[in-house]
Amino acid sequence: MNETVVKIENLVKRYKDLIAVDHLNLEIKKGEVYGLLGPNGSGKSTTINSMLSLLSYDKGRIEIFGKEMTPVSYDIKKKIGIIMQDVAVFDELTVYENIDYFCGLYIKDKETRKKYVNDAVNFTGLNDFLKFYPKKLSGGLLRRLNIACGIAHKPELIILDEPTVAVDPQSRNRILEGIQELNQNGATIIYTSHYMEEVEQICTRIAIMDKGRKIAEGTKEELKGMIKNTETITVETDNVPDEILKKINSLSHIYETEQNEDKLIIRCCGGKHNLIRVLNILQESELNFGRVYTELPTLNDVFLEITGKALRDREE
Amino acid sequence: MQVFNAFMKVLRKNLPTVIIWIVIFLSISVVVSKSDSGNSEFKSKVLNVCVFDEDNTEASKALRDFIDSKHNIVELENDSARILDELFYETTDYVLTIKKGYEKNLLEGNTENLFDNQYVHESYSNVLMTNLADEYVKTVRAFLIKGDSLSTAEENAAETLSVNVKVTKETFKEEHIYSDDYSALFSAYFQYLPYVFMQILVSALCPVLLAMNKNNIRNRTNCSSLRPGSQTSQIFAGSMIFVLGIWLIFMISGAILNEEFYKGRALLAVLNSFVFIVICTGIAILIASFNPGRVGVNILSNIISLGMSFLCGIFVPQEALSDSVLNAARFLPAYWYIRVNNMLSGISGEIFSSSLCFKFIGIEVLFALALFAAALTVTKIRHDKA
Repeated sequence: MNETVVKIENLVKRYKDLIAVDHLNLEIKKGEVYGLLGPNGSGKSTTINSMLSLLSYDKGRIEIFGKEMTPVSYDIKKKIGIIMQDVAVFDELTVYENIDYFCGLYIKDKETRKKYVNDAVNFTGLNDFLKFYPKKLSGGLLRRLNIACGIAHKPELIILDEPTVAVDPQSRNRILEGIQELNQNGATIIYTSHYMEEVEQICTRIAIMDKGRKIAEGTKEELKGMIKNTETITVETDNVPDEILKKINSLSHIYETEQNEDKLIIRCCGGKHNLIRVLNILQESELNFGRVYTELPTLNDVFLEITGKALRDREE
Repeated sequence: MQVFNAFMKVLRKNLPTVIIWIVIFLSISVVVSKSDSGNSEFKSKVLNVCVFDEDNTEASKALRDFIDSKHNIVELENDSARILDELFYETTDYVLTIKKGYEKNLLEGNTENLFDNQYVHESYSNVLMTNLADEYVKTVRAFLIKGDSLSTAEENAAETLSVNVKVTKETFKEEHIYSDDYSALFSAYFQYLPYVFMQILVSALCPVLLAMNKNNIRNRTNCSSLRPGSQTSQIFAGSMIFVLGIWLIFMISGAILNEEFYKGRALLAVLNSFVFIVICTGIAILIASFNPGRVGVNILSNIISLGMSFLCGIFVPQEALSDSVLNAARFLPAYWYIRVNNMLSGISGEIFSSSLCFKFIGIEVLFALALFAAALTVTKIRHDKA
């Protein structure tokens, strides 16, 4: 786990006046599933494209497998598999021909390639669709084909740039399970997404990006530990009187209350039995309320607290 | 050879379009070659003529015999309704009545009102027969004035008017050693080739290049260990094999249809067509570099091929085009192709000159170079922007 696979130092990428990546530093270790989380336009894809030398950058240094990555680093490129945000396959070739083509860009030996292509087909469950043309595939199958094309040559480093965009939940779960399986088979994974649930589910370490900067990095537990919020209690009720709000606010470990339409949101920092104490106040005041539930902080809360805005604000 | 193999597989998907164009063009060429009998001589038209002889003299009989030697004499009842039916249904072309006193008037030199005639109004048979009868009368009178007897004058007139002039259809050709090597059929075959080349290359090669150069596929390929130079050279090799294949198919088909292999001037036509197919390749690559999509390619292929065909003299002979159109067409490569073809076949007022011919082909080469340079520039700009 100690070997560094990717090292990015002080990376800067500008598009005229816009700074897409702003002095970014990353270090990804072998065997990690590293998540780059951020809203659209936060610089995730630019970082990936710079890593792959598809984009030139203004400043900084990128090392992959201990060597500087340049457009002619073919020995490094051999070990990388890329699954693009947009499905990158030939509409004119069948599923099998597509996987064979992209695998063939790395593996020259026909027999080895045939075996690798079959492994990729089995891995992505495309066995029944080998003679299908991409236009005949559903969105989920198309994404699986996209993944098969990226991993067929058995790369040591796999970069997935938002691979589950516009995918149904069933296919999404299958893709995420597949990524974890690839990681268990020894591949280091870099996974970019603006879906925090996905990142939480599969990533061992996460960097949160905003406006081209890395604003936080760590395991999901570490990230959640960085913020004040430890628990959010939601009460379905409307027009809570000010005196009750004052009582709730006066409870220890409660640092913020928010009346949001028909919900009262109470944010806690530490402490135990916060929910019971809030319920006691509500009962004593004979206030009508519906469901009451409590949630642990999410990466969205982390993002919200660090940047002052929700991840989903930008997504929409 | 992974990129080359993929190129060929994608190309295979577009082959039906190519095959359709080849079949259409060659079918038309076969029909044209079969319809050309090779006989370019004119033959006099033989009419069905009915002669009513009211004079019934030696002179009128001699005239009837003369007409019989030139046309078919048909016998009809002298019934106006029947005659009108015959003329209406064109079973008889002309009805000539030799009026009473024909011989007497002829000897006295009165050549006016010797005949009555009936014919379909504004028909060429009217002109043909009226002229023939007038000419006969004038010729007999000329021999009579000379001092011949009536019978001798009639014999001499018939003999004089029976001299046939052999008329053959010739296209203008300067005397040249190559003049027999480039038949009218070759000329027509090569005349329409540019249109077919443009259609085939733009509609078949463009989609393949579009597929190979799709941004996301190119990016994925660029992420691999394949060198960009190798990728480009494999696409180039695939394109050249396709282009050469198409060109060879048409050259071999041309030779088969014309039942002779290329020699002399025809070799220049072959060279001209090769340069033009290279130009078409440049056009296809330039269009593909703009990434117009499949629908865009179809629209552009029609605009370019039909536009150039009508403006440059492929569909309409250059001599039929106005000066302003021809001046504009000079900026299009097909204009120079057609000028070479016209020069080789000696049509449209072009006189063959090998130096001029090579000069025009040279201009086509410059067009090809310009197109390739433009395509490379557009591709580079687009890649830099991406």
